[in-house]
Amino acid sequence: MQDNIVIKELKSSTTQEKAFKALVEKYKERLYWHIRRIVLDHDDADDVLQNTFIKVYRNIQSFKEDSAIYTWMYRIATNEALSFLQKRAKFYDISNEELQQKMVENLKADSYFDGDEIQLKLQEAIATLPEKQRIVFNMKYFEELKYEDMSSILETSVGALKASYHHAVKKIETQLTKL
Amino acid sequence: MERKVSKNKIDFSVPVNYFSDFDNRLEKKINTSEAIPKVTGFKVPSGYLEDFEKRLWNTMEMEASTARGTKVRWLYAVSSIAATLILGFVLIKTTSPLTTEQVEELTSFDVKTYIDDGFLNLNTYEIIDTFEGVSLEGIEMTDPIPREEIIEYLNQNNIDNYTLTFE
Repeated sequence: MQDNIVIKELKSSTTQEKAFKALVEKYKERLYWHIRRIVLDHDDADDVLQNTFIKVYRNIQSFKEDSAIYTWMYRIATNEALSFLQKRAKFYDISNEELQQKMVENLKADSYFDGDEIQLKLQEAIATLPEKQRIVFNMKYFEELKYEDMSSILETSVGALKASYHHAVKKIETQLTKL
Repeated sequence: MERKVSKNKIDFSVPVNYFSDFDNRLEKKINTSEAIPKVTGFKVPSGYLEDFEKRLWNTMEMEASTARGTKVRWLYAVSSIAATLILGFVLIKTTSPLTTEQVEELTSFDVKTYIDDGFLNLNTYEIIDTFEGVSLEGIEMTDPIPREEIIEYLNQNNIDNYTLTFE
């Protein structure tokens, strides 16, 4: 089903449920990986993904259709994931940077992470990046999103995104080649 | 000199969308670093994505029923406030022009209910003001509270540490 038809059906009470199911089916995996790369832990990613779809369902009437629905959903998912991390840092009374280190440390004992030493080092390197660079790097390097879409999701100019990505890659390469 | 057109040139072809996708492919090539692995090592539990919709609907239904419960509780609260206001209004309307006879007809239960329901808004300072200069011996209790009721009240309110002396 095409996105514009889905939106139309989502906004109608008679077809809303069916359209929402189609939307979940189509985007759940992409959004899951997007969230997972931000929160790292599977259970946390599951919670954030569910909250993302619940927000999409509740707020579909306010979706203005001035952007593609998936960029709107990505924006909700990104905000939900970042907000989740902020709450977590507040709960532990630590800074966001300290939380990132803690999350990477937890990966070593995570049964849903079977990365080798390089992959763990990669996560450590990503964790040292500023928040925006971290998200831009993940979206470009792993999710291969277009800068135009990223610009709509992150509400940042394409030029700034390219610069962020370039800096992120250089920093990560430097850290990984130190090995 | 006349230029010869290579026949081969017109026989070459490129895959569909080759040129339109060229920028994207080039960008992808540039953006892929040899030093950075593309695989992250993250896994998901088996069947997680297949069962996701089911769990999502369960969560949404649970949230909806919680929201309904909250709404009902909220309605109860609003109804209680409204009822209290109406009752208060009726009481004020009917009790304001009380005659001596009506006051005498009030039982201690009526007064207690009135106070318990919060219609008597007196604080310590107002009570002190009211009784300023009045000797406690001078207060006459025409309807003294029975001793049993006082003990029962104290028992119910856990005032164990007070030493009570009854004459």
